[in-house]
Amino acid sequence: MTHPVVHVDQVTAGYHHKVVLRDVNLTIAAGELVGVLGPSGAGKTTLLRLLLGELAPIAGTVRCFGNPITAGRIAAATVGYVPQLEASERSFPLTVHGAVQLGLAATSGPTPWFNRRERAAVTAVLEQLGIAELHNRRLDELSGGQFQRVLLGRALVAKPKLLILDEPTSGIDMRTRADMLSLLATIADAGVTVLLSTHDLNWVAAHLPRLVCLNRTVIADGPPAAVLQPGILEQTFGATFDVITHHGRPVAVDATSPVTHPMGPHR
Amino acid sequence: MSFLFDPFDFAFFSRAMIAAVLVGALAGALGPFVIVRRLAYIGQGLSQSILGGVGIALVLGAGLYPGAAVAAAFAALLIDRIRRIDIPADTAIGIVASVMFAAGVAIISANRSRELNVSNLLFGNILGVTRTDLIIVAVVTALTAAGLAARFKQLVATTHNSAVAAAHGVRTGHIEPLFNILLAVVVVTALQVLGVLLVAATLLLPAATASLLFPSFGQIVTASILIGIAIGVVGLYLSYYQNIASGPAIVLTAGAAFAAAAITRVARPTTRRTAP
Repeated sequence: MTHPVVHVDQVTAGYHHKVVLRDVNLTIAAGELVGVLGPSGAGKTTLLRLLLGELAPIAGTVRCFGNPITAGRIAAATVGYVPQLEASERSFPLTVHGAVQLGLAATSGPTPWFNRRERAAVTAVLEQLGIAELHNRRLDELSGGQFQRVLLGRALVAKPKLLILDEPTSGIDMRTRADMLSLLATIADAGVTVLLSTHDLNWVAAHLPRLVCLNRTVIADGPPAAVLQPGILEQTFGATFDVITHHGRPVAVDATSPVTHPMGPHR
Repeated sequence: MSFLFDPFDFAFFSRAMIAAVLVGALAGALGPFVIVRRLAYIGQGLSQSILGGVGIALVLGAGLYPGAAVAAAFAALLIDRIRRIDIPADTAIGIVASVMFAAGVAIISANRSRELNVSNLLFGNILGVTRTDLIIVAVVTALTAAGLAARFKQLVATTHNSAVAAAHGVRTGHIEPLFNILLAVVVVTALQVLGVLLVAATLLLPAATASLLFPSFGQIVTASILIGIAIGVVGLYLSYYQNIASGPAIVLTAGAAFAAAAITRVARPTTRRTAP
């Protein structure tokens, strides 16, 4: 019997007795590319933290590959994680090659250096991500998009079966965002399950095959055409949207009344 | 060249040189982690905290090293626990260090009749390193080096991003206490050489100097170890020939090395490229 990669069953979770997620259910099969869509404070990062074993649920169960996840325990090399961009990570004195190598730290032997096989794995993933020529560059010399690829490389180098990304497209330009989504689709096609969080409706969510709308609980779950509906979006974001179709793809448009300037229209 | 070898006619100088090299290497290895974790005050905090343990050891009639070691380990773990309750690291260090330092001063001042050379404790006495001290330093250095080497990659990964390291399977719950214990061990070992008030310099200056000269963390750690050894050696010769206390001589040498590296860095045309 094949277990789903992710199975979240009736989960309630939060911090310091403050409930952030309530009665969340979610099942993701192998090779799926899924986006968790919601506004800031909706519980997207909390859901990812549950899957990473960083946080234990108050109620319900979280399973990865059929195994229950206990807080702080996760099997090495099964999950790759790309966090939100952090300035402190970029200021760390590491080269691109050195940063990606750290993705192998859990399984590497008891020597201060990485062996030839591990270094070759890093080179291969840098080539896969199109940043091989940057291998000797320091992290603080990279653009936002290049740095995002380095973080992706660190998550992929141990060949995980599940890739979790927290807002991977925030803070990068439109072209890089499109490249990143294309890259993630390729990774999912290769059999890796990809789960990412985003609050970007049109540039990210509408391009994914499956969306989970989240605001404290799962509001809707399905393909963009089914999920990006005015009623669902209002429930998710607490704002009104019109949804139009452009080149066969749903596009959400802000339908709130325009803000009137107290000084009158601009002349 | 005889000026290099003449001091070795004295056994105390040979022992002091070995101790300076070992302590310089140890502190040099751990210093880069202290800097990138923004824990520059930790060395100062731990060394001050040691005074509390030394005071209790004095009252109990136990040795200074066990008292210092227990106090340093206790302080390191206490600082870590206080940080976890949303108190900034520098505040946690300040609280623990000042309270334990005050406890040490109070206990020592209340027990004046007992023998304790406070000056040696505050400023170190490398020239008074005994054969037993040297054996302790050598064993501690070997164990610390082995522990650091075996967990070096996991420690770098945890320092870079603890949450990511944990997600990728690194046992960060073990690595953080290991770092704190190694740090406490290094501070206690360096105590005899530099004393409570100067021990932090051995953690910071070689690492800061190396970080000005090299781009990647592995290179910085290697350079920091070599710089730590070099300033120990040069500082000891300076102490011998200029007749100044060994601790300040080593720290002043380290300060000069840092200044030279900083000037080199400022004078060097920048090679950094900012990506588009």
